[in-house]
Amino acid sequence: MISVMNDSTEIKKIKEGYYSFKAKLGDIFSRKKALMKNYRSKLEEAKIKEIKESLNNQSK
Amino acid sequence: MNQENLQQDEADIEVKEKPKIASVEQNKTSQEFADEILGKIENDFKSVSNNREEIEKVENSILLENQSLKSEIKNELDLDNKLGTLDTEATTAKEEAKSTISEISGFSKAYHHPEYRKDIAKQILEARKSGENAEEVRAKFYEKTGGEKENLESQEKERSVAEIMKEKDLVVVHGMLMPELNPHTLRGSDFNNKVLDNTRKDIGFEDTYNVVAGLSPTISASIPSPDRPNNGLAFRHGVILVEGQILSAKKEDSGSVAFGLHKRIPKYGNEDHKHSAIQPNIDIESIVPSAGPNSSTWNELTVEKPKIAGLFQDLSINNEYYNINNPESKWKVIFPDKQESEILEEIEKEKAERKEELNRELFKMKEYSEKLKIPLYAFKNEEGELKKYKVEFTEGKHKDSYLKKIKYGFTDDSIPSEEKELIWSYNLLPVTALEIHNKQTEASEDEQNQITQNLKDKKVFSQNR
Repeated sequence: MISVMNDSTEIKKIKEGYYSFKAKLGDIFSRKKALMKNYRSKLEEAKIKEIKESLNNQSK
Repeated sequence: MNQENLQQDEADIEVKEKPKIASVEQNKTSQEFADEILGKIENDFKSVSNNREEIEKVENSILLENQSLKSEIKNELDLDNKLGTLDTEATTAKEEAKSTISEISGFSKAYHHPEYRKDIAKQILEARKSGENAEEVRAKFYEKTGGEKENLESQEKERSVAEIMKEKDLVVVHGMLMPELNPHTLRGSDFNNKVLDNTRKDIGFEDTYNVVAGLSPTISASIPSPDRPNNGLAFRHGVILVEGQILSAKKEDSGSVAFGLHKRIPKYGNEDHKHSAIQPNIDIESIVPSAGPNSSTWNELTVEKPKIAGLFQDLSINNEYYNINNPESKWKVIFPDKQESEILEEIEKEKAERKEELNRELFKMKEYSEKLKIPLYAFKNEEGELKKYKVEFTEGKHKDSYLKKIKYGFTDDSIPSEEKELIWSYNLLPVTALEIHNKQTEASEDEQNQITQNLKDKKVFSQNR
């Protein structure tokens, strides 16, 4: 990579570098999405619990 | 995620991204393509690092009565920390990609010594063979190169030729030979230059001008100073630069060597950066004055992407040199048997010859200035100061005889410059570096192409270009 390269070899290497970055970023994005999905379901669970409790209180 | 999955992802991404990248790539050099990709990386990175917005979006869609529950859930999931870790991972991936692409796109290729690049490649290869950590060698190289790049970018203003002209009233010049008038002068500007064909003796002032104006190679230059011999000028004529980035600036001749049109590396005074064309820190003001009586005659800068403001001619006459009473004067030594009045006569004769020589050069510069359509400036060492002038020619007392000669078929070129001196006279109008900077004229694309074509036609380049 450090040896002298011509333009087309360089462009090929730049593309490889970009695809590798996109793959890493894609993986990070999926993990972030999973985390946020988990957070959303926990919030939904808590909301359902709150609604149930409120309904219970009303029926009393 | 394991390595295998990541490689599979890379392959999938390649298929998905290929059409988009193809449109970015179209008709671009590797440098332009790399710049576009670096921009894309920044945008891609921003699109996945908007945690606060994402959290707010989720929270706004599910509004809890008990607000403290939100914090409890976040803590239970360790959400902030985990998102933070992912952000750090994304930042690292971005920086790695940028540094890899920047390297590929040519920083090292542009500025590093070829031997250094070979040596790093050898170290990586040897580490791989011996089972050592080759990645560590590579990472260290990237880290060092990244630092050099940052350093160069952080001194943008200090390294700008235009800023130096505007802020410090200094001019950066590139001296050029004029074998047309001085055929026996050593082809000094060819030393250490593997670009121009040194075997060609018919490469003159105009060709050298065309190389600089048409191709903007990385060149050696200097900042003249009145306290240096010959005002710190390698040649009495050449070009004044108006733009360019200074890569190195040494108080003395650095013997810079060209490794191609756009790479020039100092040979001396670079103990801390032998591997690179870039001097880590430059201090322009400190290199202008002479380093003392034993120092070399000129300072040396290397300038990349130079642009020309105009031509210059030094018209200084060193009166101390012609002073018979100066203890360092040669006159009484070379004429031991002559009377003082005779020696004074000899001095006057030589002084007159010198003036004639300077005038001949000035009139040659007039021709170039008109042909190349750029201003002509003059320097004069007066009262210990190097004054800058714009040269303006006016008709002289022998104008009528000149017109008669033209009428009888003489061309301007065929009239000897000694005669032209009588036909034209000139005025010297004081100027500042800022005024020289502001007067710059930009060559049109057609003119640039014409210059390049002329160079190709004349085959001025060596095979080492």
